[in-house]
Amino acid sequence: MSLLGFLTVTENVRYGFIGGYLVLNISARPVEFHCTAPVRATRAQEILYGTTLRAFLCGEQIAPTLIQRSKNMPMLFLTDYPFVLSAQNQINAPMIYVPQNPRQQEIRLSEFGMDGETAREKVLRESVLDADGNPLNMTVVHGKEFGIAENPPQHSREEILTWIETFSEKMDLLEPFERIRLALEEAQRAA
Amino acid sequence: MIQNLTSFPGDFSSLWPEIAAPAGDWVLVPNSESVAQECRSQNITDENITEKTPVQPIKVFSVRDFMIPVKPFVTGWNKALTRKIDLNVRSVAIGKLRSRVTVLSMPVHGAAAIPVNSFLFGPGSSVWKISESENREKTAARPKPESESALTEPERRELPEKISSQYTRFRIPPDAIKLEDRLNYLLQPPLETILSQPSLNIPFEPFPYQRAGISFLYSSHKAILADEMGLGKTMQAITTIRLLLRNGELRNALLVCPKPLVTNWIREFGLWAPELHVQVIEGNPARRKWLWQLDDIPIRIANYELLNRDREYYDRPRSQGGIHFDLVVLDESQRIKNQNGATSQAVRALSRSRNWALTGTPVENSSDDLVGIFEFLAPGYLSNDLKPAELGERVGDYILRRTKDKVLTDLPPKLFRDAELELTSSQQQSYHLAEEEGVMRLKDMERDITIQHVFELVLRLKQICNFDPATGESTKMERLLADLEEVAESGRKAIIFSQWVDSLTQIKKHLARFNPVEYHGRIPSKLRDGVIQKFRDDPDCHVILMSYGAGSVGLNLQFAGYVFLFDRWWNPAVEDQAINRAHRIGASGPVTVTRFLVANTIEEKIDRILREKRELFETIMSGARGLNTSTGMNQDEIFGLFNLRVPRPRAATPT
Repeated sequence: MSLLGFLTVTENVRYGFIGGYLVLNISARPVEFHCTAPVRATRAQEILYGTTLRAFLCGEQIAPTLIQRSKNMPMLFLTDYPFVLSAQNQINAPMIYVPQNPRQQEIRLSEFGMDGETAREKVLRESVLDADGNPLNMTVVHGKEFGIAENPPQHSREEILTWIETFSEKMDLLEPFERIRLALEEAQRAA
Repeated sequence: MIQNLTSFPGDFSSLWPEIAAPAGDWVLVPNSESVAQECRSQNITDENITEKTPVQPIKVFSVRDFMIPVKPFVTGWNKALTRKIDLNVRSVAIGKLRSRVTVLSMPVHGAAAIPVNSFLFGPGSSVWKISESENREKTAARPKPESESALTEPERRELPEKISSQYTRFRIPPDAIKLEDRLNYLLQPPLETILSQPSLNIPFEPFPYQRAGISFLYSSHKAILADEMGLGKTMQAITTIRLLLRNGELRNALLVCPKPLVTNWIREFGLWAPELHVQVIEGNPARRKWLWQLDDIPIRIANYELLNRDREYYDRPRSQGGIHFDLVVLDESQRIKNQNGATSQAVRALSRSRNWALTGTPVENSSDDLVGIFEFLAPGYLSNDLKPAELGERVGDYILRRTKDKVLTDLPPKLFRDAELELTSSQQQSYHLAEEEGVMRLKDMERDITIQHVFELVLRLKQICNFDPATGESTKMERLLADLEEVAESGRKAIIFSQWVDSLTQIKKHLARFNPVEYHGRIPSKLRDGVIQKFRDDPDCHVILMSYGAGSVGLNLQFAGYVFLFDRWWNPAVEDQAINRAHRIGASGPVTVTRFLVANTIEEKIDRILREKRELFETIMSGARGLNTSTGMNQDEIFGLFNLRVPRPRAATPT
């Protein structure tokens, strides 16, 4: 069965990081949903990982934890949160970066306590870096930007692009992230 | 004190091989003050370590900043606390610095796992299964926001980012409490995605407000869709039923509507859900009994009158052939506003899981109407003694009402023309005579007077305003003929409404050249579809004559550009329904509504009262909270038409 895995992390100045992972079938219907409890970086982690803290927490801690809990293995992982891309090193399926519009990212980062200027710089500097901190090659498919994480396992770039093209014809690949955020919001409210 | 010399663990080995530690370990470099001083004097920062590293001054922090994981064993905390920390200590030189430092390294692989909540779908359904959170017991080991529990509700709401969407999502039902139930709705694809699936083959793209209506109905077990007439309640209900059936959340549904609307529903099902088998309950008793008992019929349609007669077929225990419906939909649900009526009792006897009511006028006369409908939706949820504000508060989550002016900004305009007329001389004579005699008779009755007596006089005077009983003269007829000439010449069509079939018959005599057709209570049901068809398809047929009772609900006559209200109904809601036969989705141009009104007569007085009521109704309904207690005329107002006072409260309010 062709499944897609959508991974994202929301961050908030008071709660910390909350990861959400939604597995959809080809009809965009949910198959699984997993979410983490809020994760806060310790002071030591903040110091030790510095500017790579998000990549460490989101890509190496939260994302793999979520994926491990899944019963199904998607053929493609998608994230709208660049720091999750470092999870590519730990999974056996290609990971695709689907950027939200820059303004939206800026708002999200602002909520983490950054002023608008810093947030904008951060978007420009970091949103296009892959797991190893290298600039991500962005590709436009059906008018939308996609970035393929470096060294996707087992599949050629052309093959992955064909998948993206096929799936993006069937659904808006940004929309499921909205679902995840609504669900995380709901879960937090219920907590 | 401890000094952190790098925040780049990944580059550790290459930059500082002296203190390399296994990947994933925390490496703490205990300070000697001399190291710190030397670093400062030589201006050593992370910038000097690697070009990749952003400028960042050396940080100083306390050992308390490190959270050393302690894993409790079955032997308890005391044992765990006395267990030696797995710490590796080495003394190494660093680069060209003279000072040596001690390196403490400890594994972090045993750090607390991140708690995860998992929700799984069963195959082929949207039923959620929440899995055991295996890591729940480790939650205590995770750092938590310090004041999480102390957050106020507004703060909690503020925390997650604001999500504004271009998509229509399924509404979370107000009675969904469990998180997995709520997430079930939130995580479904948006309606835009679902409705765009080729297998659904939706004939027309629904308007955004219609998608919102579908979302509202889909997740509602009790709901009133109270959209203004012409906004597509039928389409919203059918599409929702279709989606529920496809998702396996529905197996059988019963739709109850007034008899004249049955064919309309069949036609709409054919358009919006052509794959669904729709069975109309009709025929002789034996056939109807058979139809009720048939299995595997996803949609049944029954009319209100028949439902009452067939009660014995469905209202019985399931073991004896009783039927349970996953969904019962009542169209024009104002029909059950009287809780004690046979129709209301018959629909309440239906065994069902979901209830929807469709009506453009949830409050036709008084708030009791709404209570009556809720007796079907949720028996006992409302009571007649609730104040309007309380009533509005309670029903807010269960009613969805939109008006055309709010949602259909591109619908052609509805133009009102109040044709204020003067009685002809013979009408005037008859009118004054009838009024004087009538009022005198009422006054003579003193305490024996009832509302029925007043009502009779009102009707008598209104009839004279239509046609003079002595001569047949009619000021309205003269005006109507003039207007219809224009309508016919432009090739358009007109609907003429009257309260009385007799008036319609008289009107028809004058309109022969416009090839009028009639649609009212005296036209047999089986002929009515033919009447509508002729009016729609025959280019020479310019006029349809309709009674408010038969023609005000459920018909789609959007090809008619003109509506004439030959006389006025008691209730503005019914007039609105009549007008909206023409002014609805699909209307190709503006709809001109001409309201005949004879000056200095009872019609003018009634119009003034109804106008005030309409303003009040619109004000209250647009607020979405608090429902008006009355929109028709009450007893005081009817007596007041003749400057009479109500002797005692005993008669019912006319509708």
